Amino acid sequence: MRENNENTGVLAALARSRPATLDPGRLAGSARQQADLQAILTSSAEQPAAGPTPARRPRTWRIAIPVAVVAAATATAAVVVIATSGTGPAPAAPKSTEAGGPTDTTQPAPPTGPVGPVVLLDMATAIAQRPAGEGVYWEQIYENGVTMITAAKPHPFVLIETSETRLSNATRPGLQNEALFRDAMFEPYRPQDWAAWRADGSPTTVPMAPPPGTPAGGPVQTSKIGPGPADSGAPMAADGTVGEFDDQQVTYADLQRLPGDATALADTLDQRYQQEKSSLRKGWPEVQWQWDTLTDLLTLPVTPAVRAAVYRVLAGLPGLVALGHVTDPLGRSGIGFGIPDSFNPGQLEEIVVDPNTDSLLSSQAYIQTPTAQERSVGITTGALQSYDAYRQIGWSNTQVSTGH
Amino acid sequence: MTDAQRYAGMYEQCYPRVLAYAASIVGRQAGEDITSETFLVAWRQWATLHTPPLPWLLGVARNLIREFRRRSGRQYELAVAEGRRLSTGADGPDIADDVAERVVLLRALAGLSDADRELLTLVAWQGLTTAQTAHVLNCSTATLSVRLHRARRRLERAVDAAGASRAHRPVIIAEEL
Repeated sequence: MRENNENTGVLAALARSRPATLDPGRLAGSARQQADLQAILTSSAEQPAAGPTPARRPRTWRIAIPVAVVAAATATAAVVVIATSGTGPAPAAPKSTEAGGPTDTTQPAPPTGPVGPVVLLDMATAIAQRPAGEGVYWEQIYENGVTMITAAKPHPFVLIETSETRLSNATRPGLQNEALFRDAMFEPYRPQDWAAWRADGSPTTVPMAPPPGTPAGGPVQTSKIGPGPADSGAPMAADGTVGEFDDQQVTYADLQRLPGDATALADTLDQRYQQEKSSLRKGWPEVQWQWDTLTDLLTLPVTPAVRAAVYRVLAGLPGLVALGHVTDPLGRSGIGFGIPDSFNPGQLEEIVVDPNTDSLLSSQAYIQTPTAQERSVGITTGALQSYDAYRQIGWSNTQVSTGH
Repeated sequence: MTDAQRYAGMYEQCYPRVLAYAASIVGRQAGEDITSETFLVAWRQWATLHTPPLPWLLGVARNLIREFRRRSGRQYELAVAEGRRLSTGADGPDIADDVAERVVLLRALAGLSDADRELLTLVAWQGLTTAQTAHVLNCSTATLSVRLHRARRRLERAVDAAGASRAHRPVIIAEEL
């Protein structure tokens, strides 16, 4: 019996077999290591906390998360290319947010109106008329959710892990960026999942269903039900970057240089795609790459002209699917558009927009053809595998945490 | 010694270890980003940091990797694929030239689940004790012991299978008899 002597035998052999690329001795002393240390020590981040980490905002109360409701995907409105300038509705009161919006839980009248790409073109027209503006910080506040299938007994159910991310990115030197993550929460997803969990005896830990294709007899992963470990915020010196674009941190300056015309933007992105250097996105199918890159831009501080151009290019993507009237994970009504997910057959990558506020409500992974495993827990077409629901994307003159 | 000097000393010692862990999960590029964020968190909490800090740092890195997954699911999946390649030696020297035992072990490791691989490499490559590993993986020491025992067994079986496909049985098999 070797249970008490874990480091003999196969573990010792494994220790000897570590690849050179993961040898700490070889990883030490890189330029990146030194640069990061300098950045940390010279940042205007406050001195090490003398006590516990600063209090974060209390967890906001969340409404129950409904499964996305999908109207018939057949668009009844004719798709018309909208001539711009002067024909749109009068702009509403100036909006400080490009995305997100009120979390309205009242029941609206049944939605009507167009659901095809014309919705995106109309939004583009309205957005292009906004004045270009600029604040001190570009703020992204969004709630993320990921669903997972448990193997709880006797009733397996779907679990959702949710958290909120708050990012402040300064566009001027000498300021700090902030990234705050609210504690994750693990809990049953739909009412039927809550019922199953209770019928299972309300366990605080559940086994997780292994991904399809996992050989039998493998390890059983478990998840707790309840709050997850606390995540810490990480302030860092502003370096001019304001978020991720095409898998890289992008500067505000670079974003301002993008062309504000749909054709020119499409050309610019096409060139970028052809020259794609990032190892993580190299070789992606073109439409997939375009979708990801364009939707990146919708969360970033680009000019109104560029934002409008993004919506116009999206409207023209081959294979764009109109998903009709949907409710986003925060209960807000919007219109969904998606493309097939190259990496997850059976899923669409979806955005939900609100044509009333010309804003982006959420990005989500929409299940169009559930797998057998998903069907076994009652997941049907229209369910979400994951989402980022935006509460706020826009300018602010204060940081998310401190209000300064 | 100032706070900054003490921190720099800890950083010097621990940075490569945290990077080795993060890279084994999400590859070198994303691993460097995760490592950078981890040490920022450490700086903020320097006054209350546990000693020794390595298990705590790895726990923070692990949480940041989960957050990475939430933020960018697709990029995460690609990063994880790269991490697997690194962990199983696919990116390293030509397998044909490599030591026979390493080839067999890494091939066996490649056949295990991500969770098994993480657990086993925390013990074997990071040299953590059971209690420290439990801290990183956020489970009890008792649970961890059971998981480790089972993961070891699976690795042993996988080594048998990987070794049997080579003409030469590796030394490790002889020890098991």
